[in-house]
Amino acid sequence: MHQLLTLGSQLPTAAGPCTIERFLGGGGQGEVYQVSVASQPPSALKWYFPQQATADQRQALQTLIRKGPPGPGFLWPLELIEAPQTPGFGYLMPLREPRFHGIVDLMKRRIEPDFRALTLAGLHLSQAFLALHAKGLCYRDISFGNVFLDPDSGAIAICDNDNVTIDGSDPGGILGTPRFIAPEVVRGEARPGTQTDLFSLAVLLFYLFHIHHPLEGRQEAEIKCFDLPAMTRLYGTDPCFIFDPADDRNRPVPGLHDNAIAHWGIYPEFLREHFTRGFTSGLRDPQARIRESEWRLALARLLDGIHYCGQCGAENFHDPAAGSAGTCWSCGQPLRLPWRLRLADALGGAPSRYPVLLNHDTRLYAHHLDPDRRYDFVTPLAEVNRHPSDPNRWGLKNLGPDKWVITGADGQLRDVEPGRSAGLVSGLRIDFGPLRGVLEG
Amino acid sequence: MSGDCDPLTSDREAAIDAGATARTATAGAHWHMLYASVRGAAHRRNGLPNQDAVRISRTGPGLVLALADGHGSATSFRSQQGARLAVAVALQVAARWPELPTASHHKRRAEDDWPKELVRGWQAVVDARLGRRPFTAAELHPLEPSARQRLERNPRLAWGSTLLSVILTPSSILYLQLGDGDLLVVDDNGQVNRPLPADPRLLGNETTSLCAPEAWREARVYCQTLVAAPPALILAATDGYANAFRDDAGFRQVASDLWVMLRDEGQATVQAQLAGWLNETSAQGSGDDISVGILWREAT
Repeated sequence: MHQLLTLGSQLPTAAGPCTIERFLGGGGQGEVYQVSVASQPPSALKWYFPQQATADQRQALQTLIRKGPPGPGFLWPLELIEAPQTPGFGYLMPLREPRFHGIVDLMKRRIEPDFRALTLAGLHLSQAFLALHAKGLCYRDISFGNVFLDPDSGAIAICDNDNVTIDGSDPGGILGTPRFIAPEVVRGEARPGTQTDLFSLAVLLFYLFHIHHPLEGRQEAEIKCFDLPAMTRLYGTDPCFIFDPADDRNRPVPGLHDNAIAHWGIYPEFLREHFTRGFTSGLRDPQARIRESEWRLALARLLDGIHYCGQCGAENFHDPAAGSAGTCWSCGQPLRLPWRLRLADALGGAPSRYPVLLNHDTRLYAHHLDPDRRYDFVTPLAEVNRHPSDPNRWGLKNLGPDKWVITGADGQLRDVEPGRSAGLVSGLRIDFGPLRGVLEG
Repeated sequence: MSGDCDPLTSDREAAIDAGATARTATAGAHWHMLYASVRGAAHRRNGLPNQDAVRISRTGPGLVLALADGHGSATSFRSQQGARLAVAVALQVAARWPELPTASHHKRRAEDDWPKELVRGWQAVVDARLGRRPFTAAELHPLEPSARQRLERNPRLAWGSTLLSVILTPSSILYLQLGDGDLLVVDDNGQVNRPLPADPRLLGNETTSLCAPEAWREARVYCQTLVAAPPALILAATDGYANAFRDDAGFRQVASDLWVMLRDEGQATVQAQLAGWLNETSAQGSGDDISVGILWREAT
């Protein structure tokens, strides 16, 4: 089905000729092929359709290649490719690994990541867009067509980065994907930029957690033809959040919007509040939108609040605003919270409202034990473990390079050296250095 | 959508299986179109009707092909009507397709909205028909209790059908598949490709269906941006056609052979014989209803 390059042909690259091995897919801008260069692992090559291979696009690509990727997760342009006998141009980028699946697959339930992986994916997305925006760039076209996730680990891959531009620099170009465009862009009052990216990010996160669009309720159900006037009304001139507490015109319709109805109540109040703010005041005022760092913090807290139902094993989210542990969303049985670690600034700050729930598989990372450290889910600094000879006793094992100091109920101080564990006992205080924690259970 | 929007009249229903030929210009080429639908050999033996439907029409942005296969099981006792409704709704949706500036716009509309409009449109007319003509005791009597329970949970199951649709726009060709069936594309060199990869969920007699509550999630869409030469031939067929062949290669060869015949002997010759070939294929193969819709263009 490809039309631009011939399989088996070669194009020049800085590392030697690359061979066009396989057609991977086509879009509105061009076609993507798997290519190999000498003995290197295969890469991906995007080649533009003639009408898309413009001087502006070429210059934008050169800028992006020069700037380099903002962080991990971006399948960023690596090298501009041109050839005398082949019209147009293209660029090399890393090949998307097979473990990554489109968010479309999630929407169609072809993949079913657990809540931990979903939350991690949302956190990585927020982190990635924070890094992109910090470089003065904006994506302009966030949608589930260009974000991929590993349903096992929650890792993400962001594609189609050739649409990224310097914020405020773009007088024309791509406007984004209709359902993800900020209302002011739909209305033609603004161009895509960092602020409109924040709206698109919020839509994408809502999709991830609800498998549904935040503005598609009764008003959408009444549309017979999704033509331009209907889309403009729904997403631009009269957008209304389906769970707007002050406006019930656009509530989800049972039978049509069941995903939204089923998921909304599963999440804790603080996450619902973020979505509510993002899609009420944030609809009208770009400055009121939830920032990437706010999403990151909220999703880190959401991750820390995951625990398992003792009856059916389903993942549940602890809601600190609720008076009790509540009931399992899956089986309806009362929940019992596991051990909780409540962290506080070591210099006497108030304990956090958001405890880390200590499940059998919980791991603590750098950002848990030191608020100044980066979010990193690769190297754990602590993990819950079971006593080797007494399966009823649980501990928190020090996996980091620094010792901890614990204070027992008797006031005795003890060191927990790297590789050793502190037994989980209610009231135990653990001094991690910058932060200290108290065990509750 | 209310019952007033029901896209079928008795006249149209009768016309759907008659087959047609026409010629039109879109997607940068002059396209010929032909289609045929035959009652399966096993259906004749068992006194069952043809539960397929197919239609090609000039509409909206250019051309639309729609083809549907009613499930035909005991529970789907109105699926002949379900397939015809699916085709009629697909033509209606294509007729409303807006003019869009680029292939990217068509792609996004196709991926985001097309499946939803088709499924909602079909489900709305099915619901309206159920309201006008509830199930009768004669229809429910032959069913096992478990089948009746399934119908109570989802009455649309009685009309259950697949749907394949292709829309040709000036800048792109849009393919959609919901349920089993085949879409094949032949290029100018006679190479046969599938625009949509095989769906692992369609095993044996299992199929995704328009009657599922959120069926639009099951639809698969591919958008082919037109750059150089468009395909030489596009063929859509209900699964009765491919199932009549021993292997996929044999079935794919049919698409290539049809293109050669159309090119060398002309539209009229092939159209005159198409239904006969399909009857023969059903009798010697699957015994199922077979429907095909073909769009082809002469070499430029």
